[in-house]
Amino acid sequence: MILQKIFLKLKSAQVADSWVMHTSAMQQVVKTCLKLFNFLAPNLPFWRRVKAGSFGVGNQIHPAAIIDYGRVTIGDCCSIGKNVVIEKNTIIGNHVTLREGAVIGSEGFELRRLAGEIIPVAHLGGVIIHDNVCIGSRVCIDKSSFGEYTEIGESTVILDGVEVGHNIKIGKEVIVSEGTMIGGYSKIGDRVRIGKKCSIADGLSLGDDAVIPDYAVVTRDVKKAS
Amino acid sequence: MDMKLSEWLLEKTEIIRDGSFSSLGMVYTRNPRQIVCVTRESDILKISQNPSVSCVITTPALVEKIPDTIGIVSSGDPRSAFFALHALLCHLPEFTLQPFANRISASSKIHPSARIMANSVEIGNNVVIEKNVVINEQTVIDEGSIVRSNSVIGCIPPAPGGAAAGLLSQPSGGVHLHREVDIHANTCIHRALFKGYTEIGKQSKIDNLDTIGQGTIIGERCLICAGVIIGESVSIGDDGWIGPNVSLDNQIAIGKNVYITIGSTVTQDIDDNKVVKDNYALDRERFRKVMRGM
Repeated sequence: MILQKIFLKLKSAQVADSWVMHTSAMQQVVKTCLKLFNFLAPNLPFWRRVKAGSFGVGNQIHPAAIIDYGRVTIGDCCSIGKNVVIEKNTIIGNHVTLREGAVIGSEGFELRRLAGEIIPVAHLGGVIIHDNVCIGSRVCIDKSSFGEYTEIGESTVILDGVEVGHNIKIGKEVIVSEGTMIGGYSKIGDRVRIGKKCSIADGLSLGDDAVIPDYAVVTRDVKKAS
Repeated sequence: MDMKLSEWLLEKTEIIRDGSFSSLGMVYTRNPRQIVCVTRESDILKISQNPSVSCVITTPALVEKIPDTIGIVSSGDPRSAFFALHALLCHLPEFTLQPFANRISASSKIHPSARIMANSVEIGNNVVIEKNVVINEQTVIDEGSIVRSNSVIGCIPPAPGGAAAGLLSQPSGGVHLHREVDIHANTCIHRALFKGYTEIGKQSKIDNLDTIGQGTIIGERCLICAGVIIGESVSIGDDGWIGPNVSLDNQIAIGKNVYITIGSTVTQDIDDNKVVKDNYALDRERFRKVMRGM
């Protein structure tokens, strides 16, 4: 948690745009720290945060689905389609539908440009999918950085070809239509409806009951509908 | 091997000026002595700046504007004539990459569900290939690269747009991923249609659900976000950022250090150090100053 706060502070506009961060010495320091973190994170048991997986009853799982058994928790009466990939640290509730080709819990797109190199940030978190969620085919849901969870709320429907970035919290009864891209660190309230092919920038919060039309590009916060 | 234009006279075409060629290419590519297809007036400036163009297939309206040193074929439908020529030539050994035995490094981690073709695949040291990945022929992956779940590297490009119906695309090139490239889930990278590679530069990262067209060359340290659709034969300079849901048109050149914002559509060339907002290209340094002042 402390690490995440430090990281978000470094990412914020006041710090990232200041001259201190643009000096080569500071860039080298941050780069070395990130490389050290990336090296230590997957190797130390303290960071690994893997829960023992469990399986409910009445699940319909296609034999071609690839699930990291032992590190994935799946509830009761779920249906999982062909070629679905579920990576470690994923928690799935009851009555969840995952259609063909969905990828749950892959690495997020969190990269830093430091001293003429691109350094990725190792993701240690996971994904929580609550009850009665329906996820369409070819949907990608990335896992969170720093041991948090990407959350999809109850009774949410995500249609085909949607990208849900890292550290996203989606509320209850949300509908996300086809081809929408949602950037990292966004918070989406309850009962929000998002149209087809929308692009939602990172770090936004969409209030409850908001409606976003098709093909919209959202770069500012959206208030709660009154 | 040099081919004479007059030896390869196609149906419904007319040779205005004879010439010779030894490879096929697009307006931006630098194949030696290439024949290209020109349909837009803006392409004529580019071929006059490109010394490797030796022949052109074009429309009758553009014939007079072509430089004197270049051989010309005129056709009512230059794109289908060009791909028909490609379909004839792709069986010759000079116009296609040669197959080789697989070279897969022992230190690479390949998931058992990944499907790798039986020949012409080269995989370097410490490469990670995850679940359900398909890797087709003529793919070269350098050391330290990662290809994540459900991606397809080297898929066959769809039948060329504007070409005659029923003409299958027969790719003769491949895909080359340089060092430390990271390709995320559900991404498709098409094989180059002509002899050569679809290239992705060193340390470039490509997010989920992207499609990268045939013959595209991406520079070093580029970040390409989710849902980006890149057309065929696009060239992208170093240090670029391409935001989510951007689409790039076919055959355009994007300079170095370009920032294309979320949801833009790019149909023209972009110079170095620009910010693209919707359909407008702005100077990046000036844009940053204005945004700081707000």
